[in-house]
Amino acid sequence: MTRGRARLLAVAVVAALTASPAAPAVAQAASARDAILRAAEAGRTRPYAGEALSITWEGGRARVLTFDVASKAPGDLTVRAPDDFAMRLGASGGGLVDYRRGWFVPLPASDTIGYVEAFQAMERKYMVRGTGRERLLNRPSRKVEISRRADGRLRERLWLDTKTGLLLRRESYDGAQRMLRLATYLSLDLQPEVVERATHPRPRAAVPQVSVREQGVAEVDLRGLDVLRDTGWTVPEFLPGGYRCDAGYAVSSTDSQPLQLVYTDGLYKVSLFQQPGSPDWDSLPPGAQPVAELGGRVFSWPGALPSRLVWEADGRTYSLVGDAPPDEFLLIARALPGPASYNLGERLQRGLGKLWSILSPWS
Amino acid sequence: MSERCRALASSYSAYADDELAGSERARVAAHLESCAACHGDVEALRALRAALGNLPVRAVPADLWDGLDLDAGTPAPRGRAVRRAARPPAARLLRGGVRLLAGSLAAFAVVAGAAFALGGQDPAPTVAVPVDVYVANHLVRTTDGPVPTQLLVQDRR
Repeated sequence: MTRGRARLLAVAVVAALTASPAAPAVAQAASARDAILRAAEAGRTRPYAGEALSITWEGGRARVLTFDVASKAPGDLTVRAPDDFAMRLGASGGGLVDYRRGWFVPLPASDTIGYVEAFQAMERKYMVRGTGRERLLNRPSRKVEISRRADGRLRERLWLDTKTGLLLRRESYDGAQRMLRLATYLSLDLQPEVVERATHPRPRAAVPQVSVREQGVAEVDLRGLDVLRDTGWTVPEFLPGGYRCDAGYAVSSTDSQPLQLVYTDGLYKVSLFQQPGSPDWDSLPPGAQPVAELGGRVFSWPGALPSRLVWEADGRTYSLVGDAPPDEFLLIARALPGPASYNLGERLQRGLGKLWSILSPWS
Repeated sequence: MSERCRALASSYSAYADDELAGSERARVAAHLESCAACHGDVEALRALRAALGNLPVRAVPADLWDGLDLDAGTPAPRGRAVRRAARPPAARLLRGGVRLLAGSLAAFAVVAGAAFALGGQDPAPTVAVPVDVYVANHLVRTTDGPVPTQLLVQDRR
C-alpha cells in the first residue's frame, strides 16, 4: 500500500469517527450518553482541521498511517497526503475508494434520524459509562467506555473534547480485550481561518480522476422482506450478537444485482449481500485470502476495514461486509448458510432420485 | 510259496492269456503239474478273464471331453472326466453362490456409479462479486441513507 492510499485509509477511519459515529448506548450515567450524542452532533457541524494518526492491528501486524484532514461543514471534507495528492469532496454523495485495498471514505453524515434509534438499540447490548477525565492535545477531555452487558468486555474507549464535544481519540477492542484499532488526532485546530486554509491545499501530485458507477437502488420494506424470505432468500430478522435487520435494499447494476440487508446492534453495522449464482472467483478484488475457520471455500481480505467475507452456499453468492469485531463477525458468518461441503451420502441420494426419474415410467 | 514259485509267478498272467511260447511256456507248465497252489492261481486268472469278457460294452460319450481346454495335440489328462463327475454337491453350490455374489456386486457398482455421476450439483450461473462496490454500498447505506447513484473517486498516477 502506498503512503497516499494509506493516508486515505486513515481518513476513512477518522471521518467516520468524527462525523458519523453510531451513537453508543449509555448506561447509568446520563452525562455519558449526553457526551456521546454531543460528539455525534459536533462531528457533523463543527469545523475542524488537524493531523490524524490511525493504527490497525491484525495478524500481529500493525499498520500506521498519518494524514491531514479538514472539515468545514457537513459533507465538506478535505484530505491531504502531502507527498501524494490533495482532494476535496463536496456534499454530492461521493467518496474515496482505494481499489487495491477496498478502503472507502464515506462523507460525513448529515442525517441524524437514525442516531436516536441506534442509541436505544445500543443500550440493549452495551453499557456506556464515564470513566474519568484526561487532558488530550492539551485540551480537557472526558473518557467514556462502551462494554458488552453480557460479559462486561470492553469494546470501545472514547475521549471526547469537553469544550466542543469532538471525538479526539477512539480505541476499538476485540473479544479478547486486545486493541484492534486506534484513531486519534495528533494536532487539532478549530480556528476558522486555519480550517479555511487547510480546506484548500495545493495539490502536489496527480489530480484524482473521477469514475462514475451508476446503480439503481430500491429500498425493500418489511413486507417485501417477508416475501423474499418465503421465496427462498436468506433474510434472517436477527443475527448472533444482537444484530437486528435494520433495512433492505435491492441493488442493480450491469454486473451484479444483489440484495443488501443491513444489520446493526446499535454500535456496529454489518451488511449481507446475496445474489443467485456461483461467484466468479476471478472477479474478486486483489488481496483475497482463504479463511480456514469457516470451512469450504471462503475468502477474506486480512487487515481491510470494514471486514469482508465472500462464499457460496446453496447456489447463492454471499458477501458479508461490516465493522463488527472479528469474533462477532465470524459468529455472524457461521449463522448464515455455509459454503458447500462434500457429502457422499447426499450426492448418492440425489443421484438415485435422478436415476429413478429417468427410468421410472411414472415420473 | 517256494523259491521256484516266486520266480515263475510273474509269468502266470501271460500263461493264462496264452501269451507264452517255447521253453518259457514248457517251464511254467512243468511247474504247474507239480504245484497245486500255482495251478490254482492260474485257474483263477483264467476265470477272471472269462468274467471280464462277458461285461457289456458301452460307447464313449461324445461330450466326454467337452469343457476341457485340451490342445489338439495334447492328450487329455487321464481321469479328469472321472474326477469332475465325482465333485460333491456342496462345492457346486459354493461356486454358484460366488457367481451370484459377484453378479450382485457388479450390478450394485453400476447403479452406485450412475447415482454418483448424476448426483452432482447442477451448475449454477456464475455472477460477478464486486466486493469493493459492496463495501462502498455498505458505508453509504449505513452513513447517509440510500442514494440512487454513487460517485467513486480513485486516484490515478
